[in-house]
Parts: sequence; C-alpha cells; structure tokens
Amino acid sequence: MLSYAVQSLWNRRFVASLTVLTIALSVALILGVERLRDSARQSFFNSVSGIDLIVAPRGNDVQILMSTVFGVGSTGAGMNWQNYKDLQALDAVDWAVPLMMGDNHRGHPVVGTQSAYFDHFRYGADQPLRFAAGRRFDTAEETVIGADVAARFGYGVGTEIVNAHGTGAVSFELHDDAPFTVSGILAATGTPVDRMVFVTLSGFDALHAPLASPQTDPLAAASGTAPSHKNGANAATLAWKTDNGSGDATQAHDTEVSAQINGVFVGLKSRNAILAVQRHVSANTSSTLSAVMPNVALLQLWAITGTAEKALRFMSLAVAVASLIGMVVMLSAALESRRREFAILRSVGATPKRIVGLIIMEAMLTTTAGIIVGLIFLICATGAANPVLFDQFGFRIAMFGVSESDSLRVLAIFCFGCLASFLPAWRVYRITLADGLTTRL
Amino acid sequence: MTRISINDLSFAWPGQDQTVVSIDHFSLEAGERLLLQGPSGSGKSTLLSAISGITSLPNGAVEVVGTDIAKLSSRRRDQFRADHLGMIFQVFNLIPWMSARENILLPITYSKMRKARLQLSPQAEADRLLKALGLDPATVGLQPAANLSVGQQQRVAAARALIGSPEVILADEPTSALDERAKHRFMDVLNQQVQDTGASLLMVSHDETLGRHFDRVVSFEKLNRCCAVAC
Repeated sequence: MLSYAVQSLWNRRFVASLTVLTIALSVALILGVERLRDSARQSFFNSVSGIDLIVAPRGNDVQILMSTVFGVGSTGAGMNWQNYKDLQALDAVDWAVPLMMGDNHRGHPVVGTQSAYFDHFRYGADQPLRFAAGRRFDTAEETVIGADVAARFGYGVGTEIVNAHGTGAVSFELHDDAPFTVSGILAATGTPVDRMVFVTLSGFDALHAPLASPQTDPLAAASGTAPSHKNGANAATLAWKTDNGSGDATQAHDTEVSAQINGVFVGLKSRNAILAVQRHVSANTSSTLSAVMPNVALLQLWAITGTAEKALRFMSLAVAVASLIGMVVMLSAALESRRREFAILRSVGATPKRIVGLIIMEAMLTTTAGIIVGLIFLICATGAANPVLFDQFGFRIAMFGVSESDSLRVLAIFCFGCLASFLPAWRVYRITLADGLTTRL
Repeated sequence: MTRISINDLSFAWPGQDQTVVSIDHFSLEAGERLLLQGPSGSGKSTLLSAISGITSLPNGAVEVVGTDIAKLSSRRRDQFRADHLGMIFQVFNLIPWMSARENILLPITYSKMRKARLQLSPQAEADRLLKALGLDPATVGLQPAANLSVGQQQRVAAARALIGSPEVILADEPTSALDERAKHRFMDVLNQQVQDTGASLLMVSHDETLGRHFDRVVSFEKLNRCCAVAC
C-alpha cells in the first residue's frame, strides 16, 4: 500500500512536486518567521542592560529609547548641564553619563558622551563594551567607532573622519572643518552600538561651534568667553574649559558642556530606588524631564513592531492554508482520471476503505515530503541570511535544532494536511461505491 | 460441481424502480466455458456486477462457489471477490503507470488465498503466465502498461485474472477492442490457460463469432425476462 502510494505519486511527480514545494515554502515561512521573531526579540532586548533609567527632555518613552539607545531620531530640547549635575548629585545615583545626539557620520549616528560610557554601558547578559582595536578617546579630536562603522567604511585606528549635521544619511552640511581621528574601534556587540560613532562632549559641541555664536547661544554666552581652538572652531563652545575647576585637563573637556544635552544614562546604587528617582525627576526638577525605564520602553517598542510581526505570522499562516488547499486540489483533480484505477483496484479485491486509505496516505506522504523539504529550505535560508542579518541587525538565527514550539507547528501542519485529505478521500469513497467495477468513462 | 448458481434473481439498481435483470435459473459448472451472448445494454454487465458482489442482492439468489453472496458483508464480499474471481474488462484493464508484471501481481497483494495457491514465486508465476499468453516477460513484462498495445494489455489483464487460480473468471467483452485476428488468438490463449487452471469462464459479449471458443452459448435475451423492457 505504501509503495503503491509512492508509485502513484511518482506517476504524477510534476504536480506532486509542485505541491510539495508549496508545502515546503509554507513550512519554511512559518518556522522562519517564528525564528526570526525570537532571534530579533532576543537581540532587541539584549540591546541595552545595566542602565536603570534614561533621563531625557520630556517626551514619549519610545522616542527617548529610540534616540538614546538605537540612535534613531532625537529627543526634544530642554535639558542642560545643570540638570545633569543635579542628577549626578542625587544620593541614589551611582553614575550618570550624558549623551548628545543629532549628527551623523555617513548615515551613522554620532553620539557625544564621556569615556565613562564605555565603563557603564552594558548589553546582552550584562556584557561590557570591549575595544577590538585602539583605546578610548582622549581629546576632543578623537573618536571611537562601532564595529559596523569600521567594517563598512574600512576605517582603522588613525583614520580621519568628518561628520555631518543632522541625522539624515545625505547631508549638505559637512563639518569638514572639524575632522576626528579614530582612536579606537569597539568589538562587535550585535547592538545598535556597532553602528554608532562616539566623540567627546566637547568634540560634539565643536561641530556646532560655527552655528552657536555667542550672540545666538545664551547658554554658551553665559558660561564664558575665551575663544581658543586649534582647529579653528569658534571658541565659544570651549569657554567652559576655563571655568573647569576639577583640574585634570582630559577630564575637563570630557565632563563639562555648556550646550544642552539630549539624554543621560543613569545607574543607581540600588534598583529599588528606580521608582523614587523616576518620580523625583518628573516632579522635582525645574525643567521638564522624563525618566524612562529602558525595559519598559523596550516592551512598548516591541508592542509597536509586534504589529508587523503579527502581519508576517498571518501571512505565513495564509501561505500554509494555500499550500494545503493546493494539495487538496491536486488530489481532487486527479480523482476523475483515476476512477478507472479505483475500479481496477476494487476488481482485484481492494475495499473502498483501502482506496480511501490510499488517498490519505498520498496526502500524508506529500505533507511529510513538504515538511522535510521545508526544513531543508529553512536551514539553507538561515545559512544564507545569517551573515546579512548579522551585518545589518546584529543577530543570527539558530539554524539547526527544532524547538518544542517548532515541532508543535510542524505537527499541526501535518495534521491539517491529513485532515485536508479527508475531503478528496470522502469523494473517492463515494466514487468507488457508486462506480463499483463498471466505470462510466 | 456448480461454480455459479442463480435462482429467482430480480435486480434493480439502488434508487431505480426498473428491474434490469430478472433470471429464473442459471448455472455455471466447474471447468465450463460459457458465453453469454446478447446485444449491448441488455443488462449483461449488470449481471456480472451482481455475481462479483459489487451490489447488494436478495438472499439466496446468487451463489458463487457454494457461498451465498448476499449473506456476506460488503468487506467480506470484497475479500471473496479477491479470493475466488478473476476479472477481465472491455478496455483499460491495467493501472497505466505500473509495469505489466506489477499489474499481474495486484490480486496476490489482496488475496492470501490466491497467493498460497501459487506453485512458483509470484514473479516467476507472472512471467510464466506472460509467456503462456504469448508475451515476452523480459520486455513486455517490465514495460509500463500504458506503453503496451491494446492486444497486449488484454493479455496482461488475462494473466492478472488467472494468477493464483481463482475458481471463476468473469470477462466483460474483453475482445471488443481487438481486431478479428487478435480476437481469436486472444480467445485461444485464454482458453488454454483457463483449462490449465481448471477455472470456469463466464464471458459476456455481443459478438456472435466467438461461439466456437465455448462449451456452451446462452442467449441473454432468452435468459433475462426483463430484456424486453430494458432494451
């Protein structure tokens, strides 16, 4: 019976293989979407850890997260150096790292920050940033770049790069008067950090020096007036340098900025204090600030992207249904031309039930073949997609190994395949009973 | 010994009022070769269906090899048919994508009884029958049935009906697609094998020239009281 079903399918191998192909595609799609989702989700929630709060000018949680962690877009205005100082002064606060954003390097976000960023930023399971080459920035003219940036443009330690104003990839306003020298390259993390360019706060500010003249920038004007910059940038931005009382020159240009900042990563001494600090930030400061819990914002963001994911899942489900319908069509379409075959089988002693069993077995074979080919597709596709995925999004999809939910899905497809075959099988039953041995052809 | 005996059979297809076959008495003896002759549409094929147990019949009307067909469940009837009857149809006897030899072996897969009766291995028996029916097992035997000529196909069908020596061979116009020469040659080789296996042959045909191949020729019109209505 099994060999008969195999032969019978082989006899219709063209149509049968097309059916197997559609089932295979749907299997690969369904499992692939799930795996992509799981991997993306994991990498997504790995993108930041070890940061208890992100303080930024008041705005939407997701927007703040997107700009500070993912380097997409920017936060609102209204946070200044004093806000940062106040935050740092809070008892509960262990550390605070300021961030400045809004520029890009050939489409990659440029972040102005302190070298403490490299101490405190964590990703994945509390992994710290590592340098693949070079070291941190020491001066305002130095920059640290993410692994992707280095790989994509072929930058090495010592390369001189020029940033552009704004966040768009194409900008007419290049800061070519203020080039940076790459001092270090971060090891790949699989997070948005790989795509970022880091400069010192003063370095970041120096970019905007020509724009921020003493007349138009009240903050800069208020903080001092001692123009001096070796790269010829307007000195207004460096004014604070002379105000600095902490002594060490390296730290000086690293820690004090006159212009407004876009956000602060905050680490607390105890996580229990999160809600208290959050409340304090939103209630007690003179400026309007928000304190965002990264994990909460990540969940919110995931809820948004989850819509696309649902659409994708729905699509793969639709493909599965279409492929099973295709199988029913294949089996049903052949029934008319196979009436003679069934009559012959009955004449040599096959019961109608056996003939029905034959049809169901053909469906099972087709579905099984589809599932196997689909799994092979999936392995090939993930193998081919993984380098690209890792380059672009910093994560890989597990290639082998079928998870429990995967096997449940495969089982469901198999069961629905068998279930779908009941329709043609029922027709076969009717036909064999009605035709008997005399087929009306 | 009587292989088939029919008494007071009156048969109408389910859901139809009109009786198509109505027979007082009919019998086929062991080893007998009988031609049931009558025009097309006279209900001959219906009678074969009734004998082969495809349809439900009134109790006691048809006995095949001493068994009342009507008393068997439909599953048992299918098994009974596989065990005791070999059938040859008008055309399209074979499953086209199977080789001639695989077609011949089909009844063996459904009937343990017929398999047990084989003297040789199934393969060898199939080849023996092919040879006896004038076909070359090495070439024709391995061809897909669809590639064979109609004459060859009918011989393969005969071999399939004969394998495992069933008691009765039912043949429904097996020669109607053959030309004059092929027809008589087919009948000759079929008769030879039927004699060898000791089977009874019941053939229905409208062809009046076949009479010389049979022990007995019965006019279906005379046998079937309904014929006047049915035609």
